[in-house]
Amino acid sequence: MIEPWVITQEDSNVTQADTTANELQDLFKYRVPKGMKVHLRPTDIICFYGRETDNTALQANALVKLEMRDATGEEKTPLVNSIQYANYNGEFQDKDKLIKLDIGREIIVGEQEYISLMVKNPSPYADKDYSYFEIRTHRGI
Amino acid sequence: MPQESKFRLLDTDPNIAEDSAFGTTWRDTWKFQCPSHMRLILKKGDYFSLHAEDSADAEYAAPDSLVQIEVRDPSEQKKINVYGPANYNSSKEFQDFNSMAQLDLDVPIIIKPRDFIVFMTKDSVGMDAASVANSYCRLITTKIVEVEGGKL
Repeated sequence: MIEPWVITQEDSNVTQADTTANELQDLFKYRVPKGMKVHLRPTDIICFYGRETDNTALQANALVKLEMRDATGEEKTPLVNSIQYANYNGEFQDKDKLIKLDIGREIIVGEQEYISLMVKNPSPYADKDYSYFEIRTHRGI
Repeated sequence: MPQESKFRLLDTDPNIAEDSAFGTTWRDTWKFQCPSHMRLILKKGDYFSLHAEDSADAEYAAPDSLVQIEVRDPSEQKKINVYGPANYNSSKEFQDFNSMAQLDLDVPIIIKPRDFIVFMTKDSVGMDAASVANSYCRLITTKIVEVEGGKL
């Protein structure tokens, strides 16, 4: 059965980590649990609010990238290429401003594979405790 | 002959039970049980809005506030996820249709008599009976109406 599914920072399968300033690193890394597949589609939405450690939003020119990785973490497929945080800007509602995945067809992310949201903020680093995201997609169970 | 009409399901519906226990884990905040004379059809694009307050009388705040909607059979053993679990921020708009949350179903789901639609919430502060009373939700969906002789 395929049903709507939203992946957020609160999902128990998401690993959170502060990034290092000026390096593109994983802020949120989701690992698909056993017994489930994520069906990513070109119409799926990614929303992201990022905050620096000094309690302000990420800089507009910070880079944000979404990528899929196989279970080894070695084979990588971009889902949304590196774009400035200004494109995301913490928008979760306005459909004219939401960002869709950069994929041309449905991609199935299998058990134990990863979806990672990466951030490169000039300085200081991106803070996992105050940042949040969601990927509006579907899952097969 | 059955016909479809727009239906607004509100938290004040007489067939909704409100949760009154305190908790910081997932809670069935509003639980609608479809009455015997009614059927609903949840469709892709149905609009959903929710305003939630915690036990400190403050509106839910990111990043640890989540919202989810499930459809359950009468035994509550079979569950279908129809929305979320998404950040609260995504579904708090009640006026601007361009900003309202929508269901993204592949196929319509028929809600039969005694089936449940459950609006679930979770945040780190928790909700109690008073905060549930201060909170509200709305799902704009479709009702199936039996029409005698083809006339409403």
